[in-house]
Amino acid sequence: MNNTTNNEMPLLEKLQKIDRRILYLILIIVIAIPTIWPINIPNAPLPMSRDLWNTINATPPNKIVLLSSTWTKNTRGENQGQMEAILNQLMSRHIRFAISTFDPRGSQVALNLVNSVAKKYGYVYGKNWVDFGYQPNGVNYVKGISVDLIQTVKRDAVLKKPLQDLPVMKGIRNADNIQIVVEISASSSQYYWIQFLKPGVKVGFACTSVMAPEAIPYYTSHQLAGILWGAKGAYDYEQLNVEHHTGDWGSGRQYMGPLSAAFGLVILSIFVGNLAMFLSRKRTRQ
Amino acid sequence: MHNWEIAQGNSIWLALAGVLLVTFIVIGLLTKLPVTLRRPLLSFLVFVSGLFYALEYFLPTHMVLDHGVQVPENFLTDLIPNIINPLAQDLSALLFGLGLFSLMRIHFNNVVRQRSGWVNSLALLISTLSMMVFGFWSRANLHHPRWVDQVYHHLFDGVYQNMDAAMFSLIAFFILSASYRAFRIRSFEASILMTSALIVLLGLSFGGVITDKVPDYGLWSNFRIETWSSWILNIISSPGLRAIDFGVGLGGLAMGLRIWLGIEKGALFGD
Repeated sequence: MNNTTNNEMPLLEKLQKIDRRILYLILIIVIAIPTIWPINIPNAPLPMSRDLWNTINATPPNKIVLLSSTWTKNTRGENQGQMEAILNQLMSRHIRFAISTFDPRGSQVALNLVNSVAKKYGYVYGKNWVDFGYQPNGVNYVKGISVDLIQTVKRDAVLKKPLQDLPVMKGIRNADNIQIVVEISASSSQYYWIQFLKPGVKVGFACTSVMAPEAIPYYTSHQLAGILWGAKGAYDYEQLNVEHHTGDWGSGRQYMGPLSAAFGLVILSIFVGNLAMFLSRKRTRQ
Repeated sequence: MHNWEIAQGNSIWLALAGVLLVTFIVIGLLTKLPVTLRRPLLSFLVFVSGLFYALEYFLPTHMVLDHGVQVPENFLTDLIPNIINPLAQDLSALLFGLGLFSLMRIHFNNVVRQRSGWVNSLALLISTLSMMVFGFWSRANLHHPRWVDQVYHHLFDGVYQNMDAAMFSLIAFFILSASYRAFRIRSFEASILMTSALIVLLGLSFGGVITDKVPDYGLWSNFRIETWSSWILNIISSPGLRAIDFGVGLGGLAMGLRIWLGIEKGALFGD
């Protein structure tokens, strides 16, 4: 027994004091392998993802969907897949939509993504979709469009034309003509919509994984019509799109393999770290 | 493609110059005010601004037909899109400008006086100015050479966006290091926390692989990892977060009232 314990000691000490650069190297390898050789993780869409998909899919012809794209490339692993999947659904179902952002950098990022998806579906700017641009003052913007969308936004952000002159805005006057506002965000900007949007207008939230838990109370109280939870949410939405022929696989499924591998490594590292601590304590007591 | 000048006309420059002039005059007058008068003036402005929103929210509404849609309004509601929103947009733009001016001044002084880390300040000045010049040149003016668009594209999409993504990605390495070194089960509470975290983590990643053969309908669905994960989030975590939100909300309300009524110590000029 004593011999065994003595043999464990160097290994335990090594495990307790492992160089962090070795951990970093392991992480790089673990993420690189499923990135180079993609693996498909079985998935069951969460109810909150399904609810958002159903709400957008039920958009009648006389309403638009407003995508508030408050994200930049630092969270593209999660938000880009979500927005791409939503855009695929909107364009394949010929739903009119508008984009806006609360982040000055988000405007260009959203435009790049919408333009790339629009090419695939032949969506035309001004006719099928419109950009409301950067909105620096969230509270007044949301309160304003609740009353008069045309007067609040005035001109689109690309052509700089009066909003009422664009065919996409035909019959759209205020928040009553919006089927749902989807806040695609890396922060807690969904509160603008929850707090200040006209009651009765649905709000969805596509967020990073760290932001999702604090949004759940609003989903269970039906203040949010649905939530896309990080990369898993993007994968869910793509799966729903594929099942209903409203889109194809994208970065959501592509990133799920490396993400799952990284999660597995985190779980393993917690287990090994604790095991080393327990065995070390046991040896000390003996 | 229309450009800004074509869409708005040359009068926009006159309007901008006028707004800037008025702003400088107002700021100049404010700085000339005796300190004893500044606080009551700002308190009054804060109170009036807050009062507008309170009255707009609480005053009774009547239904108005607006472009074929019945909208509940009172006499203040229309002011939001017509006056308050443009005013708030202008103020936000002015604050951006003020922040930019302050940032540039500090870093310009760092470079001129060659203070410690002045090279970083120089990098900031060059980055900011180049992005501003090529951004405005590319966006606000229709008649510009093609290379201007290319430079802007390389600066924003090629450099900035990728650096932004790279910085954020570094978090993954720290999470792994922290989970290995710091996440230790030393108590009963810590073991509950870790078990919950493990189930939620599995539910959001490859948990489906483990319970893939378990049917996702009827009683059997209760044995799937995703169900456990959803149960923890919706039944355990959600009420806790809601309780925290209530506390934060009440605190925010109390703080908001104090600032609005001008009784919060230190809210205006630190006195």
